[in-house]
Amino acid sequence: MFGEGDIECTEKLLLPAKRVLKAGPQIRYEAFERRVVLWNQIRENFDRYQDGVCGTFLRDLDSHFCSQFDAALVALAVSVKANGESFDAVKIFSDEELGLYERVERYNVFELLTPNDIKKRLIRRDESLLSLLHDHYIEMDSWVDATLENPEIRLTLRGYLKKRWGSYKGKVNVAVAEAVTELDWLGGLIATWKNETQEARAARDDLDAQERALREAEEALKSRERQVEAAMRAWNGDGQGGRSRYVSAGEAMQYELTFIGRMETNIGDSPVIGGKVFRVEGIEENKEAFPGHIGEAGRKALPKNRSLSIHLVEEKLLWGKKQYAFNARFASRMERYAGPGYDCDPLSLDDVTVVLSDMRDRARSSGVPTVLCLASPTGFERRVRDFIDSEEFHRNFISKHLSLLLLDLETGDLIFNPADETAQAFSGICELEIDFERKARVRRNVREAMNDALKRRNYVIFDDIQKALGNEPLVKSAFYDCSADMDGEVKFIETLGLVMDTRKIKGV
Amino acid sequence: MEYLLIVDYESDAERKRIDYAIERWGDRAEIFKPKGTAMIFRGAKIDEFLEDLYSRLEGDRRKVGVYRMEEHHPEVEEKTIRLRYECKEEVEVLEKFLSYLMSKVNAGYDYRTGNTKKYFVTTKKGQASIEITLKNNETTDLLITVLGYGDVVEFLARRIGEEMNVFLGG
Repeated sequence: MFGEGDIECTEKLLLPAKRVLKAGPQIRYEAFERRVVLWNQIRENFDRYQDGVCGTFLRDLDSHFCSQFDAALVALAVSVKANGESFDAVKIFSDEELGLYERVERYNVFELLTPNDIKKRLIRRDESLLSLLHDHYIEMDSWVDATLENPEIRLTLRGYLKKRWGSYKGKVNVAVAEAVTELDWLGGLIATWKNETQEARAARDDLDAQERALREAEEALKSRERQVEAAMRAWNGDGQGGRSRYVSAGEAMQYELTFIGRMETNIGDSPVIGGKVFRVEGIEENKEAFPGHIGEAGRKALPKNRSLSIHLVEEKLLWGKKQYAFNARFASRMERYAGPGYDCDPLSLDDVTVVLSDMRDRARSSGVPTVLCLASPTGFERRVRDFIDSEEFHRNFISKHLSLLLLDLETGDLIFNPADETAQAFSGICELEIDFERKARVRRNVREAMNDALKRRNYVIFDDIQKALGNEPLVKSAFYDCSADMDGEVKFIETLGLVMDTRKIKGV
Repeated sequence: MEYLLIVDYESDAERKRIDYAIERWGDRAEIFKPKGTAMIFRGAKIDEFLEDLYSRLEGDRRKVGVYRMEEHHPEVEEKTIRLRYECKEEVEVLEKFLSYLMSKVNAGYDYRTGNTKKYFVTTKKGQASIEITLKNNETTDLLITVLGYGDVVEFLARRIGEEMNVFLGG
């Protein structure tokens, strides 16, 4: 009937365990030595039972016996803890296991009480009973359910305490169901508790959802940080000043139209140059054809490298009228915008000298002093700046036929040889009009945002600054300015966009 | 002579016991836990590693202490004290008394192999295990073995011996 097991033998082995279980939490009032004897007896008997001294039993019965051994041991462990005694052997149980026993056994008063007794106490509004019921309705049920599913707790203990809780709960429910019909206030009280539970549960769910969202956001942030770190590690600085900008095809087209429009406006009909009034004799706009193969739609989305050729003649009645050929030219690498869709390199000295040599030859043969304002959306590399305006004056470009001004359309920097008086005279026309107060404010905000970013790591990603400050056109120029002030190196990294790197100056 | 000890503890209680031991030994030796991070370097390229390490550190390189180490095989062995008794009492009576005795010395049952039951004890003097072997011939032979390190072994053996003598009327 029971497998091959000997029930009588098992009952004998279970005697000390049953004694402890019968006493329940009150076992703590037994002398310490007595409880140690009981502990050792139960452990030894459990050992013998598991060794098969009493034979083997079917699984359900075996679980029932094992759960009694374990429950008795946990009751003793709880008594040692409650009395503040020292007996290291009880450490075989975790705090969760002790807690489960303690909380369920708080309800052992229901073992003594019949449903009728419970009803009588409810009528008396017995505080301790109401407190147990309150906990029962508010949290006990869900807590016990959750704890009984905890795999860290011994299965035997879970089985024993589930049965105990089930019997207490059954009794409570029967008694309360009867009492509610007679006691109106009890129904109201329980409804309030249940509402509290629902509210608490909703609040907890809400909190859980918030925590989950926070964790996901943190994870996304960490993942981005990891990507950023990897990109920064993978990136090897070339130290040549290349890839320090990022201008998309759309931005380049905007810069081009703004530049050409402004130059036309600045020249007007009768510009004053070097204190003298000039007249516009002729104006001509040219576009550069894209050399590669590209569809009509693609061609439309490209900058055209427009240039304005303006013939200026001094307003003077007599002879000796001064003339200038003013050429405002937008210079971009169209093939870059047609290919990857962006350019991230400043114009090189080679790019500039090709244009310069051509213009100089034309100026020389025409005999009219020519002023070339060359505008680049990605700026100019340092060697170009040095070529025009270095501290070694004897090496700076100067020509009596051609004056040169270079305009960086992103930063607004205008470069020319200060020794060239004609270039100086035209600088007012070529300069971009910028609201300096607004620029200073944007710059201040960008600097603060960059300093904040540098507290966390050794580089600043332009995208982060733009996200923080909005897509204000002056932000990029302020980013370049601040990077230069901070001695940081601005680089374009494929996966991150523009980045200011201070690792070199910090020696990282 | 200096020694480096690496103790791989398993619980907070064990860590505290280690701290107490260091404290107790304060007047007999200079014992301190190194500040910062301690590491064991196994390999030949120690100088290259140190060069790399110094290049990463801020300030003074004297903050790195480097010692050459060799394994020390301590001459410390587990102590064993055996108490043998030949009794005329019946096994059941003796078992009951031993059960009481184990509870008195705060020993928890661990396991049984054959005729031997093993207990484990934690006292203020340290930890030890106790093995009790009973053989029933014409008389009952009892062997109690106390095993452990340090004073706890003598301490427990003395207590058990005293109780046994009272019980056996010695």
